[in-house]
Amino acid sequence: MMFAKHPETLLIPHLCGELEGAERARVAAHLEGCDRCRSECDTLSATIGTLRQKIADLPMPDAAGYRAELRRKMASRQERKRSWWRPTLIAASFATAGVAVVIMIGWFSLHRGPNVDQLALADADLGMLRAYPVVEKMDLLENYDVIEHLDDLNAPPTDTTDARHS
Amino acid sequence: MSVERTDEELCRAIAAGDAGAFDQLVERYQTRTFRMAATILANEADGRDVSQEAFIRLYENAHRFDGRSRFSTWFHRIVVNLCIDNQRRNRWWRKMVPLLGKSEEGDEAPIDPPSDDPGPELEAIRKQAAGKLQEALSGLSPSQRAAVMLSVQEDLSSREIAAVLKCSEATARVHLHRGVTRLMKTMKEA
Repeated sequence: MMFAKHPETLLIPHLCGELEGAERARVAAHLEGCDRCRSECDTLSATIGTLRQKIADLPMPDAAGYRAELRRKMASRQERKRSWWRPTLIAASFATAGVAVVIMIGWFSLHRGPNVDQLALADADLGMLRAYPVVEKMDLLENYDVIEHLDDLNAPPTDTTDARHS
Repeated sequence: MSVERTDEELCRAIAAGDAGAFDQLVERYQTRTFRMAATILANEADGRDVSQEAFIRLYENAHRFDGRSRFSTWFHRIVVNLCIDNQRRNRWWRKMVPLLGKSEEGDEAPIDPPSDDPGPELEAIRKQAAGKLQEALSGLSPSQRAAVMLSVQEDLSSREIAAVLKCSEATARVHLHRGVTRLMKTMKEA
């Protein structure tokens, strides 16, 4: 099968010997019958040859200097990798110290004893209780309800007694 | 008699911790890699940095080379990816300072002259020719430059170029054809 148009992009692969089988045969057949492509093929071949030569003349780095610079860069990269933990460790230390301070503040605020005012008030209450003689009689306190409701008890029938005496 | 190790063997040796193998591969590839990166980026200083970074990546990732492709294909993929990253990073800067980009693509003197001294006249002719080629190459798109360098300098096939550029084989052939044709026209005009 022939190409519908000139196989321009296949000319370099053809020149480089990349094409295989049917594709190679098709390009070769086309070149036989196409002056334009044959001519382009020749020009491309010459250009690639010239390019190869010119590319070899492109500036190149001083080999020793280039390698020395590369070694320096590699050493600095490895040093950075080795010491990656230093800033991390410092940051972690600060973070841990901060968390510890927060925990301590929280713990003290939860577990602290009564303050001075509360203690003074408690002392005052205790003093009042000590000074109150009734409190010393605990059995009376137990009967406090009875004392409170003494008035509710039924009074003795006074009329009958008076009548008897009279 | 010691048999020279292949690139693939050297890469496996690097993965196993052989520092000598790394030096050998650097020696083998340094000029080609530098030229490739400097050509794609159209800037020698960036090309130097990127090619050195590619060697560092090679050292760190040698264990990832699985041997399914040639070492050169795998390594050039690293180089091209780094070039693309570099261009993306520098794009905003080049837009801000267009004059800087222009001078970089122009006939700036090379940072490090070739170490071998072929004589001042031949050297001048070489520099002039190299300058013209660099100018011609800078007229291509980065993909075309990469395709031309991978084909002409590295002898990679269209399939391998496609693998490096992460595109189809047909697209790689188009990049290569357009790149070479454009260079041909520029060199004819010069």
